[in-house]
Amino acid sequence: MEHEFEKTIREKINTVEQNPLKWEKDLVWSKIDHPSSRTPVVFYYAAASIVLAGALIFFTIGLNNRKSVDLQLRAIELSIEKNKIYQAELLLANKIATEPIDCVAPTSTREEQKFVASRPVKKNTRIKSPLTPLPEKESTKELNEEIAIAKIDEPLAVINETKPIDTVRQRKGVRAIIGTGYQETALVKERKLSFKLLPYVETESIDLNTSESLTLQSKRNPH
Amino acid sequence: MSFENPYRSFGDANFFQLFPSFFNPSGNARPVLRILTTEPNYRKLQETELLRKCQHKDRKAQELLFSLHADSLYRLCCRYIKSQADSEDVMITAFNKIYQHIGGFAYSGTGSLKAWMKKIVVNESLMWLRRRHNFHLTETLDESTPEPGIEQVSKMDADDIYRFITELPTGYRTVFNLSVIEGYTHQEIGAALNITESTSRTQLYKAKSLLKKMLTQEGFHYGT
Repeated sequence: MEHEFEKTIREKINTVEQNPLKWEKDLVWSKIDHPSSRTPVVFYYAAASIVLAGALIFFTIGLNNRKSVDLQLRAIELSIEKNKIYQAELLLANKIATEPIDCVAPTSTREEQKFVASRPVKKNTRIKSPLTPLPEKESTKELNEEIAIAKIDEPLAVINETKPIDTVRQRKGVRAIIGTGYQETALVKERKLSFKLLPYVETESIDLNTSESLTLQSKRNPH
Repeated sequence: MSFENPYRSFGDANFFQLFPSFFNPSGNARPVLRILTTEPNYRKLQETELLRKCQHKDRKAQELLFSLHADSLYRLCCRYIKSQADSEDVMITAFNKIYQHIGGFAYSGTGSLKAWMKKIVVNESLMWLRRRHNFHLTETLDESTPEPGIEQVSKMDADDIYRFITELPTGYRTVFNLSVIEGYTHQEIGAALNITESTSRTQLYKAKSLLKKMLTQEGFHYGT
């Protein structure tokens, strides 16, 4: 049961609380969060535009950087390719200038052939090649005829090696390549090569661009 | 040789006092409540219109609501919490809650908005007190013990009554405020402070006894 004096006290307290008191009202007001209906929308638009602008700037800078890097890489690749060509040509030029080319077919394509013991041949006599004639290439015949000229009193050696004719023919091509270089090639001495009578064996074509594909035997011919 | 203050020409105020919003060395822009002077149209707003604008998160309406009720709510808060700084912190929390939940407030007549705000401030004050004060008392009183009469307190001046109440110990003061001033029952007080009803009764009994004792000491002023 509520007493009358309690009601009186309550009314008096309520009256007192209506009187303003000195306190940090502005400070409290500044620390209160003020939810606003406009703020989030504006904030989202501002944040989105900032993100878009940043992305645009980032991609523009990245694109420019990538273009310049690509150009540099392309220039480096070109220089590397030129350097490779130069090195290959230089290697070929040096080898051809110093060593006679004596190409040997791969071991797998060789056929062991046994010849009868050599016998003396007269001067300027035409002898028949003991080898089987080349069935396909006409140039081989010419080469064989050329090869068939033997020296006087020189015994025919037992031939157990084969020389691919294509390789021999391509030697001119090699010289042509040397001439196309943009550097001054070394002086290539014209050499007369002596060829031995060889059986025809199908050989693989040799890629002269790569120096590894050439099997060079350094047999110096005194002539 | 005397040093002349260059700001003397403006009287006793310096540049920052004359133009406080121009530059704030503390780094925090401090908004100043000017709504009652700068917006005369808002002063004429009815309570329902003010409530509607606050529910639509109108900044000026929020400022007006704060300006109208902050003083009385602050004094209410000071009745529970002695420290002025702590009372201001509680006011900040309370008004944050008011602005957050005002959208769900159902207006039910004149004064209902202020009553709702007072309830929020009281609840925030009680929450603050519960974190810092133990209201549990082991001693209990016999329920047959008659309550001390404080009829003479009601005859005192309002300011003296307010001062007496604020001088009570925290537990007594809180229960006395809730029971006598706010009109809560002991069951409601027990639920609010997380104490039993008998503890609430004990606290109220002791509060009234102490008030009577204080009145006796001050009785020279009122007895003559």
